Amino acid sequence: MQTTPDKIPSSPLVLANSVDEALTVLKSAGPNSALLAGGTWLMRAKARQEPMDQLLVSLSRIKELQTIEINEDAINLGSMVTHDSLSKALVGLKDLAGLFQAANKSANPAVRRMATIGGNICTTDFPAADILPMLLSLEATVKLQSLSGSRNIPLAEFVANARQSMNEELITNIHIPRCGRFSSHRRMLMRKAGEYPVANLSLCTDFDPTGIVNYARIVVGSVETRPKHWIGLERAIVGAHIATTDVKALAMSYVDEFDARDDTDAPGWYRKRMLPVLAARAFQGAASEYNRSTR
Amino acid sequence: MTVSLAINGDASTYEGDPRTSLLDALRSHFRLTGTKAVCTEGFCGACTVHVNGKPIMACLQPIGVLDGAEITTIEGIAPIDELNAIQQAFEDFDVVQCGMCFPGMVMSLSAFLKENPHPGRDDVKAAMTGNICRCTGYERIIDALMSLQGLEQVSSQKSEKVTR
Repeated sequence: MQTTPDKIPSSPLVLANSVDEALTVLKSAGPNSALLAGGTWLMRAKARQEPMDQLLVSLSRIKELQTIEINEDAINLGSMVTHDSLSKALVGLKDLAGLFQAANKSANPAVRRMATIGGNICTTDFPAADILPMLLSLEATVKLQSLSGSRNIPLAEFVANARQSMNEELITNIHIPRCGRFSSHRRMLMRKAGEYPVANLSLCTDFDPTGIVNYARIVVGSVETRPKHWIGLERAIVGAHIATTDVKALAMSYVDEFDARDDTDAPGWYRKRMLPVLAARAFQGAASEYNRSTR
Repeated sequence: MTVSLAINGDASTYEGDPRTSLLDALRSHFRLTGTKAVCTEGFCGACTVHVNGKPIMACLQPIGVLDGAEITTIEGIAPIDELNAIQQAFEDFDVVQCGMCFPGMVMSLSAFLKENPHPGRDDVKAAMTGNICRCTGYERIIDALMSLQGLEQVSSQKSEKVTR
């Protein structure tokens, strides 16, 4: 669709053909506009009793945002890559098992075909994201493009400051370094599948040749309103021998780091109660893979 | 904004608000009410349709992004007056109760079986996680699906009686 700078488009939904076009339309439209990725959050506005009156700028036609590039040292994802496409691309990549688990088990099959990585990162009001905490534990970086250029920043920095640049910058790419570590993503739901997790835990870890944990990055999602590093457990578990450490018992000493939210799906105390269980399962998964790799 | 798309093989246009969900457009504008409006939040699956062959939640898709798309609804999953193999299996196994979830079930599982002609029981359960049924307890639905092992073409296939 042709757009003229400084003119608000006549249609309430614009199909942008390029990143620059999307940013130009957003700038013209002003604050009552939003980027439309997969639509799985925006289209539920009515259910949240929110108005659906913004101008929407769809990114669905921008092919460069849908690419998946897998290299030996890193993977690069376009921000419009869906959960379903990502999980299919990650099959067999053992170091990215956690990211596969996050992409493959989130929501339900139909939503996974629609929901995007960029949307998962940028929906600041959604507390139960699965991909975002996993990307944080993998120390991903994001490329942000604006009308005046681009920059690369750690995803953690973007998450901390996201609201400040929403209508001026657009995530085009997510870069995930591959460091040969072990990863795992565990979720706790009220049913077996098809729901938001009441708590999730993303782990990236490594072990020395004797089985001692020498690296741990643990990010918890859905317990607070945004993902949070579990710093206390990270510090406590580095130096521990994974075969002889009761991770659940260790983690129980550090659950009070979290100010857990109450919500209709679960109270905060329950979310915190589940965290040691998830930590134990995540480390068990990573340790199993470590043991397989050393045989 | 005029949206031009194909619905069940018929060229169609929509000229209302492009932010309207595909679900609302199908039911209110195109009068295709086989796709059901239940949770309207992408959890229950009653609004599942195929967009370019892929099952998605029609309640979460604004029609404005579907210019040029091919949409298949429950009305078009098989030729008129025929049942596809999944619909026939549901009939044979006497699975349907209130009927609200079944259009979505058929749409999800038709696509699933086409790509996975030899599923295990757990595979079927995983495929159904986005289709909620309040009536049946699911097991007979799975039994019906499992009876269709080895069928390579499920959509638009003339129904055949199958036996365990």
